[in-house]
Amino acid sequence: MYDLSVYLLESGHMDTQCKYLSKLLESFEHKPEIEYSVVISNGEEKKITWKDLENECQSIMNSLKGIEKGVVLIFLRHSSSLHGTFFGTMMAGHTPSFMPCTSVKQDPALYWASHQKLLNHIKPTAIITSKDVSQEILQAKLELGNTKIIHIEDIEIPESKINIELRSEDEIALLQHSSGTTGLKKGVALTFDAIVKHAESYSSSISITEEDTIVSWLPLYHDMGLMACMIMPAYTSTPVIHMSPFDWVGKPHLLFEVIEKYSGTLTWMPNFAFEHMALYAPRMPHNYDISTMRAFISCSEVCRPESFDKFFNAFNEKGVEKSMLHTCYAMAETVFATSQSTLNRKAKRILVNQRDLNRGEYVRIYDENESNLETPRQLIETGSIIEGLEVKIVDEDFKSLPELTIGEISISGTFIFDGYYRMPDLTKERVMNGSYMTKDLGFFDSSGRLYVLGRVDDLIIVQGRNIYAHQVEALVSTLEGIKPGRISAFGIYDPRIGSESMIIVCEVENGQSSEESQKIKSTINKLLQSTIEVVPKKIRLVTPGWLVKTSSGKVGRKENKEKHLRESKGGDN
Amino acid sequence: MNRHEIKEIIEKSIRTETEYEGAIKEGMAANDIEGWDSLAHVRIIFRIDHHLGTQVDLNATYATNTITDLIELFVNEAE
Repeated sequence: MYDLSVYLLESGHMDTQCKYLSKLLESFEHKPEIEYSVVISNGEEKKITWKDLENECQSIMNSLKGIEKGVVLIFLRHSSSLHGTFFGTMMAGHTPSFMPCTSVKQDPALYWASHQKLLNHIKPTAIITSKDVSQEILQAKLELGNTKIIHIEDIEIPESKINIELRSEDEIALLQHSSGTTGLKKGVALTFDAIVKHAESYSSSISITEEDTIVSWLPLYHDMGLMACMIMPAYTSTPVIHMSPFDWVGKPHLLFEVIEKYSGTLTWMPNFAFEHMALYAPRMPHNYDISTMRAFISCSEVCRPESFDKFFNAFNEKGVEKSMLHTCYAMAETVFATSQSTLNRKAKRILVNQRDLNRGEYVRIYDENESNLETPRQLIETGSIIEGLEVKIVDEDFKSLPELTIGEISISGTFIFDGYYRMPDLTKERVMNGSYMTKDLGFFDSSGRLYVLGRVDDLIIVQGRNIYAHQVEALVSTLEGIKPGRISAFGIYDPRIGSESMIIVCEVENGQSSEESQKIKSTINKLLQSTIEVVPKKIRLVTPGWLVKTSSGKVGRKENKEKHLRESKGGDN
Repeated sequence: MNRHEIKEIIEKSIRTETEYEGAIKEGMAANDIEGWDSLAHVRIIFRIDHHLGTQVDLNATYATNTITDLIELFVNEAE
């Protein structure tokens, strides 16, 4: 095994270059012909060696020459250029952030207009994109200020090698954007130190090595794709096979095809993906050998044991074992993983009473054969806390609660984020005395295993995407025909897809014709699809006065969700 | 299978996957039907394919604008 400290000393990088970039430089120098990654796009497979990656990084550094150091937004569709663009930006002394591009069903004008506020806030020094995406930006007439647009098609490898900028451990390495409470995406700022400490801790908890092969269809603008399938494996020199999310969703068998071809060992995906794969099982065109797999890890939305059961029943004959199905609790604010179930052992399940699952209540665990429970619910652990983090369950006064008592999950440790980029108030609100308040509810069992139940606030997690209800309400409130401020959005778990669905109830003026109602619903669908990439499962237009207000005069989500469910007799649940 | 039968299968598949209860007309687009998101779209296509014994190219379905376009796509595929 090569000793990094010896390399750093010999190459003169010791005490100068940060550990993360030093590790990449080491791989460039010592294994140029070794495979770094394979990117599959439109049926074509492109192998990337470490030398290829270095060349791509050099080209990006070349294109960023002379540009003021700052945040660089990367709007690129799935391609082999993604990794080199990201790392090259880091190496040029900038702070990269992957951003999603428009999908076929989105209106580019609406999509890009929704990014103007973000651009004004971040003031990126450059945007790296492709010419087709750049055309959309141009047509949307975005005010870009001094932001330079760099076309990926135009980048060229420099005639002589460019020196990599020295980056210190406490510098911001990257921004990870996710849905924000005010409609403005928040950029989770992570230092080089944090991403290294996370990579070392998490890779150790799942015993990942260079011998593993990660298979992923996750987009890299999502923390699960970025951290588990790019930032960490680049550090551990673990090869990753990347598929396009669009290819996978339409042809879920591609995941197994790639696992078989490349002897895949690890993959991460949200809960709904287990359901989606199981649904597709009867159409699987081939009996794939996926016995090389060590773990399918469920993450990014509440893990449901019933989704694992469907996946197991569908694919047991293809080699899926229960001991391969694992769970992880993760968020961008802790780089990625906070807890992880132990590999090679079945994730623990417990039987509880749904009625006990309220904040502050003690959770009684029942015998698995107990049949007298009126509201039985099986929960699955999200594992033990990984090294370097400390997790507490706290009450409303931030006092620690004992095991088996439900409270908010608060996290402190060595790889907590550095704050939300240029949002000091929001950072202060969420980080208290050095602990990140997750707004997730959960509890520990007597063995230190964490169970995650849901949210304290109004976050709706739709197929792994975080959407704030009040963000949706604010967007819909701007539309003609809707009574401003008279909207309630909430999430309801949909067991058919294994994820939450969004329901919107809006008050409209009396006497709307069915054509007018249909037009309002279509406009809401189009707006939300194009701006937050989520389509509501149901839009309910109601007459003025239908929505329940709280004692403070606000439209109450919980109350309106209950009223909606009562009136629809649970038809949406 | 004739066009009418294919249309009925498509309509039934849309209702099953979106749980949409309103009227479905041929000129409607996905945006006109609540619950028709990208995942529901794939599930609708899986379901139609299953009933018709077809395997349409998903990209071709993304290019359809209305339910009429979707019906025509499956009519051609089922021939």
